[in-house]
Amino acid sequence: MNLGIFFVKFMRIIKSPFSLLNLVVVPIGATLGLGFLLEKGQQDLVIPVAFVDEDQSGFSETVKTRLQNQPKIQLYFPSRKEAERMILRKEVDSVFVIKEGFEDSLLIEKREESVEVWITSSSLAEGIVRELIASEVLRMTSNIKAAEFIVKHYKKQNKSSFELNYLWQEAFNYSDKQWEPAPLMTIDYETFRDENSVKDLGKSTYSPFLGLWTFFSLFSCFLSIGWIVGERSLIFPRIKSTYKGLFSYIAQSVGVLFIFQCIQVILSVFLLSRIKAIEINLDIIVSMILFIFIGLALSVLLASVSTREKNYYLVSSLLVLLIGIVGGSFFPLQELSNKLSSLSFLFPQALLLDNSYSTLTIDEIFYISVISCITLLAIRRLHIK
Amino acid sequence: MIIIEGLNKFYGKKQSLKDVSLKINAGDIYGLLGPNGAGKSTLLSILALTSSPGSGNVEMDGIPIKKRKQISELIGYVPQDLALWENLSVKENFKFWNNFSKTRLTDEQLHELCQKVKLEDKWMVKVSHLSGGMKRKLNIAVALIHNPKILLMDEPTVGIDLQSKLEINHYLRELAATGKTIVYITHDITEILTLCDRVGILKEGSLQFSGTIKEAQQMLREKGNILKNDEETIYKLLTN
Repeated sequence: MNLGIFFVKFMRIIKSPFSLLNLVVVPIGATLGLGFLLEKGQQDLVIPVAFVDEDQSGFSETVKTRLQNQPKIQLYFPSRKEAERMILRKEVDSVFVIKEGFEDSLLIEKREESVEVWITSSSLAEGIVRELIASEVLRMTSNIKAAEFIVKHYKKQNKSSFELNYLWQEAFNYSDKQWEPAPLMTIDYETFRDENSVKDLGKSTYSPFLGLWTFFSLFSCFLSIGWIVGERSLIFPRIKSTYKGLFSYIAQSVGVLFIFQCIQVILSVFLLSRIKAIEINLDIIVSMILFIFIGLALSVLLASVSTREKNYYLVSSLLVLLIGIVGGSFFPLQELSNKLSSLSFLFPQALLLDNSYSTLTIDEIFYISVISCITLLAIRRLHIK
Repeated sequence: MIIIEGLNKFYGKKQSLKDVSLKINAGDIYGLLGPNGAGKSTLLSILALTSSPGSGNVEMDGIPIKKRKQISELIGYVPQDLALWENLSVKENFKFWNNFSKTRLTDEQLHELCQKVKLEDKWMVKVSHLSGGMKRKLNIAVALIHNPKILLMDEPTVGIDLQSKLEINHYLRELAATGKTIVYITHDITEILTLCDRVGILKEGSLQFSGTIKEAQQMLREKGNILKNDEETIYKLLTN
């Protein structure tokens, strides 16, 4: 097999600063630059949540205090009516009502329906706050259970009720301390504290780096294929009449771009793992390379139906932006729309952003196959026309 | 030798070529003439493998046009537009196009080819810095890298100075003398008369005439036309 075209194209890219910038530097640089900016913005973001305390008890006060200490939540303390107005005006993301009898219910170890949650269709923090309150309630009921167990034991020794009350409080406080510095000191907890663990990095916030990488890499793929439209009317006719033909030319030229994009993938994986945005493993590298393959295939497809270079760049910019938005490059899809989320397998980002890159699903294999076939047909179309 | 029999070509509903049949002898410079939209470029693009033929048979040196690989070794195509990479040097263009052939030439052989079109002193110069005439010469030279038997040329001298045009025509005559068949589209009447051994006249997709200028004169005179010179013969062929 004669790879002369491949080597000439390879050397041309090496000698072209613009090509190197587009293929390697921009996707990595823009991902890191914008990723850090977005992450900083995310850190500064606080979500307004209303907290209605109808119980006014020690336990409800404890929950309130602990929620106030959460860095991502701006807590308001309105009355029930004010809270209703606030959520209707979307001044708060969600409302949590600690119902009257909250403490009494917990003391008899009855946790059900002691907290009301009001949300709207656009609520973001409801899940996080609900989890926080649930963990506080669990913490209290565990403490109560522990205290009750101790008191039950000491009751057999005929202690006075004053002593038993004191013991109850001591046991409750002791049990409560076991939840510090974080709840549920279990084996899992140790895993979460592992500094190399990716699970610990997100801390339930969205890491923008991989999503941004998909956007900028896709943009780079489309930008690097513009030559097909440029050469189509002048160079391609002569190439079609040669022995090697157009298919060989396009395949070898796109192959060179693919190699450079793979280098970009390796560098990206290295740098993103250094900032702990991803974990280095073969699965993620393979998924990123497959993503590049689809990106280049889509670019060739668009180039095959474009007649003017300017139009190609305009349409490809819009298309990349659209794929970026609806494919989840900028936001987690499940928080944007459940319907979009269920259609996510149609977008190339699905290979990376649904955290399932360790397994290649039938949907993804089908998707890659369809794209590959359409691209081959597109090149054939360029050859025949 | 090129043999075309009953060739038809449609672009959508529009028929560009209507039952075209002609024979082009080996070593001939065959001029394809006709008004714009007559089907000249369509016919040439079919011969150059850049368009698929509709119905009909096309053979070159006895090889049917469907055998693309074999045909591609026979032909060299010089499109009307410059099929060159402007940001590369003359040498780099030669070397790049060299990769498209079955057997590749050495750098020395490429340089010799460059000398034949008198561009040797521009070997390292970027194409974007060449004059129009030089670019046209290079456009022809890269089509000759694989030493094709048949050269298909679509207005190769359009828009260039007289000296370059004469140099190119001289070179084409040299090529024809070595046995190469040249199919040549032009609107330049001087080129037709000085360069072409035979001409074919296409009008609205149909071949109106194929033969030498003398044969054309004889045919027209038999029809009662009075012809003062060769230019008038061509004019009559195109307008009748």
